[in-house]
Amino acid sequence: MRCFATESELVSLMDGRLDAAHELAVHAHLETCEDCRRRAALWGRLVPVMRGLAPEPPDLMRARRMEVEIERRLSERPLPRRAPGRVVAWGAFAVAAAAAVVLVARFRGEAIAPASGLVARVTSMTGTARAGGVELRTGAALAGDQPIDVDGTASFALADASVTIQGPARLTVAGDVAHVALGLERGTLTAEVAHRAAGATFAVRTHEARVEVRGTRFTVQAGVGRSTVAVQEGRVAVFAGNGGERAVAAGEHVALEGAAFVADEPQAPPAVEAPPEAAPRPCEATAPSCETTARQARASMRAGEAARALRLVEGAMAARLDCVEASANASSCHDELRYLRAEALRQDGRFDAAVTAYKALDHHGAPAAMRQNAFYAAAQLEQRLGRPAAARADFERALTAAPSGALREEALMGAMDSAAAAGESDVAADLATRYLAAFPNGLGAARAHVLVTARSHAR
Amino acid sequence: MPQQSQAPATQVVAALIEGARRGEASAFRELFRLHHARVHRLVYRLAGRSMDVDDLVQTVFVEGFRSLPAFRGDALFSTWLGRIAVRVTMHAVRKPRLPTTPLELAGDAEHGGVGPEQTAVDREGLARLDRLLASLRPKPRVAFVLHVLEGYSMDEIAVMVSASVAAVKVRVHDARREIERRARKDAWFAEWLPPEEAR
Repeated sequence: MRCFATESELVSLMDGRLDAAHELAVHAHLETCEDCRRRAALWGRLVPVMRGLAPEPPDLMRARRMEVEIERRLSERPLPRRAPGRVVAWGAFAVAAAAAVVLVARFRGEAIAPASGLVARVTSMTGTARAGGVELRTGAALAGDQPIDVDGTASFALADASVTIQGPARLTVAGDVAHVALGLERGTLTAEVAHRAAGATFAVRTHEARVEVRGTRFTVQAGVGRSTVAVQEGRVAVFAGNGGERAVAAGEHVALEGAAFVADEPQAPPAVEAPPEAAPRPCEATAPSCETTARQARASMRAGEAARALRLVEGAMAARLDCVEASANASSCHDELRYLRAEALRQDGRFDAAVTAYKALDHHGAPAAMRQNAFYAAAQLEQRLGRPAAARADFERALTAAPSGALREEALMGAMDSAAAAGESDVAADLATRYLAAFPNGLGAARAHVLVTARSHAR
Repeated sequence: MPQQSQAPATQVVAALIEGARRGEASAFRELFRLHHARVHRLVYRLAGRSMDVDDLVQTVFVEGFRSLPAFRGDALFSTWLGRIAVRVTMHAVRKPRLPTTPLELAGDAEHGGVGPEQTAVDREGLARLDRLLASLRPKPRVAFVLHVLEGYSMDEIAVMVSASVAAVKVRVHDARREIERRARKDAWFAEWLPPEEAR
């Protein structure tokens, strides 16, 4: 036996996995080869040390969460892939789709990237407009992220869009041809945007909102602490900073103050009479697939890019508003996107918004396991935010959503602990009794006994 | 067959696999509970602490359960699952990425598969082993982890990584040489070496 063969057998020798003949051969070589003897001694020490350096396995709670996530992923039916022939049909639908608006408003607007390949041109001017102190004239090209101050009215042409600004206003133009990003610090912006390809974006950012548009006529007004969006054509999805979402049809408008929608505001008459909507196109042709979006969003979250994950998910949710869902999986697709949005908000540190987004899953007929997981995650955040009473209520909702779900023990334990933390001693004792009846030897049994005993002493 | 941890009884696993093939949720759960610790350890050693290990473990089980109809029983279920773990993990490792903190435990500075109960000595040792393994190229790392740390035989590894036994032996040999070289320079590991080796 030679050195290489002997070395290859060293670990098997240590593990006692060699047959007698091989073992003899290895020992025979070791007796005659000092190098191999030294190497055997070295690995004889290193292997047990290295094997002992193992990560601790996931604890019970982590393992349960993984189990639930696996079940959720297994319950997803594979989504149909786009057939190659649909490319032809896509073009035909593009003619029919004249009006579709998708607005995505978010309280925490993202910084606009520097311009790259995007050129806006001044097409008309009433009053004055300046960029970097230089007065703009009709025909001037804009490419850069310098703010443009408009006093009066100015119109700009971009690829597939025209924008009119009514001053006093301040505007920034950034992005690229496929991803236009306008920033409106103050003033009124009216835009007419041609329908954009799936994945392309046209966004207007104000202090309060981020508005994403796929193709339509619409007006955004940015004031102090308040933004309004009026849609003349198509349909709109608005996501507020507090995690809420709302669909707005043509002829309607929505206002946001701070992180929230302004409730029950009387509808202002539309600035322009809404023309009849064109026939919507199938989502398969116009919107990125749920599978792709979910994969990209998860990858972004794994890479710590929660803002990108949010952008992807909200863009996909919005894109699916102005198309017809032909797939039988449409509902699970929407739920998947909503769940991912909540997860991304949580990763982004926007816990209040994440709580609202998790709870929103309860209103859309989501699978019981997903609703339980969502309520459980919301309750954990409520605990983290120091709201034990709200946490208790959400833990109980998690139990109600799936009474025999995988997280039932943890949810009951969480409800019990949260009630105790909120000073609801009777409720805590009731929950503890329930817990002990269901899980007499569970992780929280000792704490449950304490709560039950405390109540009996108090009486 | 891996040596490091107790493998669940073959008949129990066979019965669970049959149950899982019939779509019984309880069988899926039991298979997960029996194997998740081993899969977690393997994925951690292959990927290192900078990856989202929990997410990879979930992916391994989702792929494994979806592929159950293709499991013929030629190998142990744990070996078959190990093969999926290697494929899933190496696919993730090869993709360009940024350092990430697992979502579940974001903000937990102790995290990385290392629980708070683990002693400081173990934590330091694990971090140093992680760095040693990270110095290896992917294929030698896989072969080294599977053979030296997880105790799979060369034949089993050859099947798991779709390579010849000779190629696996060369990869383990290369990895061992590199680890020897680096361990001798590492103060923490040097303490464990035979006196004549520690310099």
